[in-house]
Amino acid sequence: MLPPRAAVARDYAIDRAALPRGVAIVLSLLAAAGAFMLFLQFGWSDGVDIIDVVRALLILISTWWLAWGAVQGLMGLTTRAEPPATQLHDPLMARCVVLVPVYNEDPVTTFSRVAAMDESLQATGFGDLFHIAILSDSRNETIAARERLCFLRLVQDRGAQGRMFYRRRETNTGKKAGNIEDFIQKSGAAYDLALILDADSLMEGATIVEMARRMQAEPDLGLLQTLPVVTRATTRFGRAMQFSAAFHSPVFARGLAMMQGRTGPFWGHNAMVRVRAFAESCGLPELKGKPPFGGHIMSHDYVEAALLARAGWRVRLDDDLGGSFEEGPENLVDHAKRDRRWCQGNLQHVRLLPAPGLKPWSRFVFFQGIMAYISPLFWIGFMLASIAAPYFAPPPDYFPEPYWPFPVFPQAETAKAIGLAIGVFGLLILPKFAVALHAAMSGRARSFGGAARAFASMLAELLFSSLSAPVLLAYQTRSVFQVLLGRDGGWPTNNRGDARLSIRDAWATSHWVVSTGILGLVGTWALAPGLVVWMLPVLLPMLLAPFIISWSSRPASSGLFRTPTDLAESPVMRRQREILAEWETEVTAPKPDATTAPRQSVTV
Amino acid sequence: MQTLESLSAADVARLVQDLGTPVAAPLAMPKQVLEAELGLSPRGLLARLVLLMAPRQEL
Repeated sequence: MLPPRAAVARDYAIDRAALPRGVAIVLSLLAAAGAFMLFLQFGWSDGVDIIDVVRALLILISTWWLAWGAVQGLMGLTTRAEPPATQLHDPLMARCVVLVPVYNEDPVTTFSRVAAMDESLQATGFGDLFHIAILSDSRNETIAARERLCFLRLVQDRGAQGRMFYRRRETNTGKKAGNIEDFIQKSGAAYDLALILDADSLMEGATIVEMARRMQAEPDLGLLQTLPVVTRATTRFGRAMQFSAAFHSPVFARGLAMMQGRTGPFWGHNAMVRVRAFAESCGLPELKGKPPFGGHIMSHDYVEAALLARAGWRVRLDDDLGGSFEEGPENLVDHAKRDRRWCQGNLQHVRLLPAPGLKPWSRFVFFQGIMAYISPLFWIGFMLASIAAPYFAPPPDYFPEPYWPFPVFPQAETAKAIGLAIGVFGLLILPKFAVALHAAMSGRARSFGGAARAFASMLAELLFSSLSAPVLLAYQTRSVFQVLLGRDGGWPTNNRGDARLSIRDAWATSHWVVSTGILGLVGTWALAPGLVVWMLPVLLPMLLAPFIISWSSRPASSGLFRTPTDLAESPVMRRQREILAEWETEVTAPKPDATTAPRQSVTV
Repeated sequence: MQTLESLSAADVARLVQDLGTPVAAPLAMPKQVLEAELGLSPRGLLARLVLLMAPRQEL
């Protein structure tokens, strides 16, 4: 199966995404070049030396990366999310399967989501066109037993015999990608479309039907991604992340959508694929060698998007689609655990950068993913080089002109360094302020509790992310080194249970962050005392890591961080909550015990 | 729920097998080539520049 000829032909026409891509690249490079020049002027004020060139190059890369993100956000403010200009008159005929891969998740919660989605789908009047398949890769026998019981309950409650399925694989070869692949190889020919979910995904039936309509109306569309909204966070960390995702992500996603062209993103869930296109284009091979760089492809979604685009299919993010939800990590440690997996998956893509036939933008997407994880190394490199810089500086020459009797003092360039710091800081916070201003002016802030509350929430999130960022960057840096040293992080179960961490728990998982912070502080004090003040915003949060982790894992009680789903719960969310409450009291199968339950370790 | 609670583990497993097995409708999913030894040959460079069709499946 190949994409329609006309669509492929369009691929070679002038791509509408070329202009926004070009603008974003040029603007970010200009910002980076400005920072580079400014720093060189500052660094060379005391004489020319190689360490200043190294520092300027590190600033160049780091500033480009920051500017790239900022430009994407600012571009997202220039336009609104709109449905594609496609007429959807034809009756919906496509047969669709909703795939729910599960892996040691809590069955009652997961299956209650399926029940709610099925109810929502049936209410659209197109329910007969949709099957649901729960694809279990659970390795824990107690959980698997509960999954079977929950499935029977689900079929009974929903009267879903013949349209809901459950199967458990003997071995979880290829992890989630292998799980999906296994289903498509055995049952894929029965369906035109497949909606791929995660265990914590929840979608409105109307959204799913609308996606199927768009896929049916555009035969060259191979994959349609929605923008999932993070919901149901309860802790301080979770609420801050949820607010940030709801408030900022739609704008950044809009910027991304402007640049996507025919090669949009796939984030692995809450997305619909054309089954035959997916089957013919996305069979993932095992990479030569051992993990972390060899073996099965961990971050399969980016690769599948690239492969669909390679085969001529359009991959698109439709950010106008609502009714798409997911849940996020509730504490910093769970976030770091997930990030460890993503880090390995993204760094593995270095093997795929030269893969044959990929679109240039697909390669750039791989590069972006790699940069997202290695960018802290450039900042760390800059800090270390700055500590070392005084030792490389040439001795001051007060009499550079021969026979001139008066000394010439080096020109102070501190103002340039401060200007550069303000510029870098501006790249970090300016897009967030711009989003807040735009939300207030457009009325979007009303769904976040009003402009004043939204602005206060934005400031609180900014403060919290400034405190937590150095800790997260420490974890991220460790992950990068672990991967580079060949350590495979495996595939840990997502912890979706109680997120609260005591100081002792937090200390157990972050004492090395504190030690690194102390080492950094003492080293800076001894080698370059003038830099201590500049280093404190990074080092102080590292010293306080256990307190930040523990404090932010506690339930949130303030009125900040309200999101649209808090103020107006989506119907499918409300039904899932009701079904879950009903089932939790009724499904009486043994809960996972201490010996068989998956370890919910707090260490990463 | 009373009916389900009274079922033995074996009955549950059998019922799930009967009700839950997905439709049998096989579809080939060929493995894609991601690590072709293209080298710096003219053909390899053209393939990298997307001027040649990409290899679609492993031989």
